[in-house]
Amino acid sequence: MSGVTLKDLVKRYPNGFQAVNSINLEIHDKEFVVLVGPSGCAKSTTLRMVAGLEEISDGQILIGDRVVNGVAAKDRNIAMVFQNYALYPHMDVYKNMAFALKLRKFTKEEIDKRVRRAADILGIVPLLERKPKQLSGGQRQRVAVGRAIVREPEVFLFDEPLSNLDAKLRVTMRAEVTKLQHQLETTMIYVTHDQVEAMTMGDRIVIMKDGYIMQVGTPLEVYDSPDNEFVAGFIGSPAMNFFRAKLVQADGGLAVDTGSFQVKVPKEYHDAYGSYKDKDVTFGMRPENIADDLPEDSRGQWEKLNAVVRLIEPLGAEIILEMESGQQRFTARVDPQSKSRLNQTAQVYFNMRKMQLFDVKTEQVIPRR
Amino acid sequence: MSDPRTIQEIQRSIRTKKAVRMTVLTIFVFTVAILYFSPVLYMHLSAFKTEYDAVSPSLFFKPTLDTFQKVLGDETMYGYLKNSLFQVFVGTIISLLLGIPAAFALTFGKFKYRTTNNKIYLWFLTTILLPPVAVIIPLYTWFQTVNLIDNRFGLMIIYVGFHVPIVVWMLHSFFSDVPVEILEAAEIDGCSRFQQLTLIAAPLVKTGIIAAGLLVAVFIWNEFFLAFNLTGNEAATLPVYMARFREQQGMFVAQLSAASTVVILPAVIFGWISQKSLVKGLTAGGVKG
Repeated sequence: MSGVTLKDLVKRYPNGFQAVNSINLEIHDKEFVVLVGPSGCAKSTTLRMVAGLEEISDGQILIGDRVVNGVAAKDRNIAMVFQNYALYPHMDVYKNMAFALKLRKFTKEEIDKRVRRAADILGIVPLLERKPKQLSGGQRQRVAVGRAIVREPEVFLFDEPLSNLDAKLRVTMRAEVTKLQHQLETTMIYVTHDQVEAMTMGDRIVIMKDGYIMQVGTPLEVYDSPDNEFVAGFIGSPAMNFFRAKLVQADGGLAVDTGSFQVKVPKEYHDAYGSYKDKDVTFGMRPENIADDLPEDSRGQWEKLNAVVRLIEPLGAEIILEMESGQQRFTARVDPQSKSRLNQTAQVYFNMRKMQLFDVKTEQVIPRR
Repeated sequence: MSDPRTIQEIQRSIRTKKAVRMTVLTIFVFTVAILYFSPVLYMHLSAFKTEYDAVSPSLFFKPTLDTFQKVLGDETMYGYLKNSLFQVFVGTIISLLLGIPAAFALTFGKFKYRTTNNKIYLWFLTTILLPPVAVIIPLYTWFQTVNLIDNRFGLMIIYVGFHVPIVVWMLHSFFSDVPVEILEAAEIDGCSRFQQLTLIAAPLVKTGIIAAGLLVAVFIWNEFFLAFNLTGNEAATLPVYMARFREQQGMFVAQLSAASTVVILPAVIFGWISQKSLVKGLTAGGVKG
């Protein structure tokens, strides 16, 4: 068991393209870290460098205290689960799982013990004699995980392992992998493009874009206090609303003026935002912090404005409203009891305590305190 | 305006048209097939005739096995047969032993530039296009200087050289269908590059290897031009025997036919066995199944 450290890690291709730009990351022992980002953000490349499948152009990777730069994949004591399962089609499930142990010259008894225990954990004992093509997607992924478990590696690597499964199965497997991590207490690095997966599974999330790390933090940290506009927009579904706005003086306090509406900034943020007065900013507000109905007594910090409902998406447990106020469009996530009607004006409330402001140029968050 | 016929009538007329078209096509196909097959049929029939009957190409005669007995009784043929078998077995096996790793490396090898694999592969392919006639004269003089004329191993080297590209060509498309993640998984599981080939990739392209092997075996069995030019009495193969038959024994149609029938038999049997895997092998990569 050991952690993984990336030091100034760079991946450069022969054509000069730099896919990974000097990444620094420390993953602790027994930690579940999720690398998440849109396609092309180099999260998989980073993982493959840890695995030893991609060469490291610059910088270092340490597994435990050992620098593994020149070490072959097979000698890194890691196990990896691939998106398309990558099971050996000509071997049955048992042989698939035993393969790595056989190569490492384990005794027959030890192999059998480990394979059966892993199969037991994953509930695939009845499948041991089947060939991969006789299994469903979920079963295949279980076998792939089993193949990783039997190795008892220092680090588990997952490369979008659930992306090929249907939505329902994905949710089940998600929980299973998380449980498994608690059970095995092994360091896991998990790559996904799905921010929901990242939020639900990771101890910490690493959000990447274009080969840079945008933010590292626990799910709630990156959700509640994003470092920048990208993270704010990437984490959370539906995505955060952004408004081009100006911070102005109003009624002896500060207000955000979007051109179409003006909302007051809560007093406790005045000091933090003071220096941006009369400047352009990006104003961020999550859909769930917008309500279309509020009891009188709880409207304290909520700012009221009028907006027209342009689209209603009832999801059962909630309703997503696409709204329009002047030139500004935004999404609200409201109670299923909502009385809003299509193309009618409704009163909506912004929970200004949850507001975020971003610098227009750097796209970095303007800290609230 | 609506069609006055009922649906049943329309369906029946469509069916009739289809039947007519199928019949015409079938007759056409059979005619072409018989046309192509007629020399072979003539040969097979003549093989069962006496020399006297064989002069006329008639379909009606009293079949006899005498000619076969005579041909198979010819001791000199067995020397040629031994050479042919040697070339087929040793040549095919060495072609596979060299071609399989080459195809594997060209499919999965990590060169500095990704296009390198393809460039080398294309160079391999161009050698398939090379007509043996083009190189026979330099080859002959060169073989003379190194004393390989009429030498089994000399001919075998040439056969291997000519057939490795065919193996590479066929297996490249098979290997390309193997997901690279499977090999990466094997790499992480502890396979060396060589074990990735022997334990994972090769078993997965078994059909392709069999197809390539059969094809090369038939090619070598049938090969005439190089064998005729590079061998004398010692290393000559069966096709050379067939060519010399007339010179040595005279124009005996029945005997020649019987000998030919015997010689093409293995190729026909091979073809029969391997029909399926051959078709699969030759079309793999063209259309994703």
